[in-house]
Amino acid sequence: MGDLLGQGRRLRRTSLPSPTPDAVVSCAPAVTAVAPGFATAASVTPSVFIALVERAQAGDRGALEALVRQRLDQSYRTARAILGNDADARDATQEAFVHAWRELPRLRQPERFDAWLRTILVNSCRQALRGRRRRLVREIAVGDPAEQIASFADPAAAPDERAVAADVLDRAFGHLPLGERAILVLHHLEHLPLAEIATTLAIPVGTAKSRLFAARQELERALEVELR
Amino acid sequence: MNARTMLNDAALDEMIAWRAGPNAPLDLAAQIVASVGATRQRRRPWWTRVQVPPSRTPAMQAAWAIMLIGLLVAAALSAALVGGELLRRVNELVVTPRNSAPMTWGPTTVTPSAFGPITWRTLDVPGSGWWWHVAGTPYGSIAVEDTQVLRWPVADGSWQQLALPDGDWRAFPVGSDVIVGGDAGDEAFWLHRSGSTWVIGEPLDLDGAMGVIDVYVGPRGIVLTDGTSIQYSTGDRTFVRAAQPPSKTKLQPTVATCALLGSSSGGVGEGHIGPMIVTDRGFIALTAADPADWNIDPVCEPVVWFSSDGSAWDLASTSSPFGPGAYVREVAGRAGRHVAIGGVPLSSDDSGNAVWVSDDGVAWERLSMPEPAGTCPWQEPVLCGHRYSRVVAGDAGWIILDGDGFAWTSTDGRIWHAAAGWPGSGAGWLPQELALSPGSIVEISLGERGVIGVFGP
Repeated sequence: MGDLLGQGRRLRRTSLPSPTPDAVVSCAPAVTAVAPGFATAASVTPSVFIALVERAQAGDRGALEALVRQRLDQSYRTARAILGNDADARDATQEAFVHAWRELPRLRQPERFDAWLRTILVNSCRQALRGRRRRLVREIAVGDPAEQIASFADPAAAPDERAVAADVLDRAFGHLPLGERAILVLHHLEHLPLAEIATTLAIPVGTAKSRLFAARQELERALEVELR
Repeated sequence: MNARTMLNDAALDEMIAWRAGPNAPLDLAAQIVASVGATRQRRRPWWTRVQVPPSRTPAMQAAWAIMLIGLLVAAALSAALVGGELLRRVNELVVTPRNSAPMTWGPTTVTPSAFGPITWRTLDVPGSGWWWHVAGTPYGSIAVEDTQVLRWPVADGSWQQLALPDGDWRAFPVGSDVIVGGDAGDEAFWLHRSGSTWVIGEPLDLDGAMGVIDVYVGPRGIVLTDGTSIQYSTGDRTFVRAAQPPSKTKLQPTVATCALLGSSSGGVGEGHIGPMIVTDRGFIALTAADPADWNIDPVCEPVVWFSSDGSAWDLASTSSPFGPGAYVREVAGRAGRHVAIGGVPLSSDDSGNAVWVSDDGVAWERLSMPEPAGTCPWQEPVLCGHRYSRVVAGDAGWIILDGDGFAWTSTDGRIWHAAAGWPGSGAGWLPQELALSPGSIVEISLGERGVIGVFGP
């Protein structure tokens, strides 16, 4: 495919939803997906985690801080994947944890904290998207995106190709409504089973399945628009 | 090559992981912790419940109509006699202005009612906000959104809405009216029905700010609680702080230990007054027997407090009528009978579900409950705790939910049936709020969806 950024380069002017400079400029290499059960701090056993939730429910801010450290990275990356930029992801993550703190006494089953937090996070992303309709005009390099996207999952592909492909996919992703973004992120980033996705989005499992399928189709359509 | 061929799972995994970027910025955790430090946690116990809405069976509807006419006549007379002071209807009760004669009560015996098979369907919540509280009224369920909107369905299946002032509101049925109170403790309002619309009335005259997390209505008046203090009214909108509320200074330390509660202590200040009960003689409140447990929720080894007027409270029992190690999460009553849900110890660190029934709020009898109707919906069966989480009462009887989406119904509070599975089973709902209104049940999880169950005779 050659040096697509150096040869045959054409500039395309596009209106995009709130990209961040680092995402536009650096086109950072793909980050290896984090497995479910991530932890920034040292992982704790389920029983200890539940005890932390219960202590936080009782007003223990130290326990909440521990929960934040346990779940921050995963929450932030989920928000980042849904929203597509650092600033909104930061706000949504912070809002989600503050909201969780306020509402923790309402959580009836501490063992469901993760699913509950995810639901709050998705809603915070929705609020962030609603509140920030920033649009930027930016210039990006485009070669033959279709082939590049196909090579996205190819570890042997050149970083530049992966970057351009990622950018095209990123723009297509940005055209999706939040609900579809969320279901794709929960499935492809957090690798959640459908039952957990249904929990997060408060929909039946069957609906989650059909929405995941519809989101894939919608992304395909958005991608084809981007490739024209 | 088209998009379809490109979008294989591996490519999507990679692309979304790329979009997710690196881990959170290093300063974000500190920023969140600082924000949490400046944020007050809701002090909302788990036992918030729906009050008793009046019956809507045909016979009771007729009685209701007669009562309504009587109330209207009484209202007109009262308005003429007392210069328009507020007259309130509370179920079959006429709540008259304070300092006037005691009011009349409706039936205090439980009669069979209609709690037929439940047909569940998904409830697509309209609007842009979250539903975070629902309540049952004689006109159907109402929902409060986090966007300060009250919503309710109308006959054609559409929804109407009423904008509320800024605040975090909860709605509590008071007969055919509703009290809307805020957690923040600024104001509370009466709402009344006008045609198919709810209308905001006058604010309650509270004795100092208090968050309204529960409202109890009885023949002796109305009691509001924020979980740690009590205000009461003999029936009008003027409330007075209880002179002698339940106090842990009147309790002796015990060795009460409730399974599953060991790590739930600390940080909630003076502790809370647990579930309350309305009887025809007055009000009953449950608190932990051990003063050291007053900051634990649910209530461990509850003792019973009684007040005939909502102002002066005395211990009605010095030991828990629920038994050693038992805890109570919620209580719901109708027609002179009360049902409590909670747990009893199975071992030093585990507990099992328990349901009790009482006709006076002081003596409690534990009931035998049927197994849930269905198998655990979760992929990991160990997650199926089947812990009873909510109980509400309505004209049809009582409904109990557990945290896994199973339901039990009873028309008399004593004989319980495992209800057919509802759409939440297997779908991973997290039951949060429950409302029982004539002919329907509304359940919401934290989010934008809910389920509605329709039942009939």
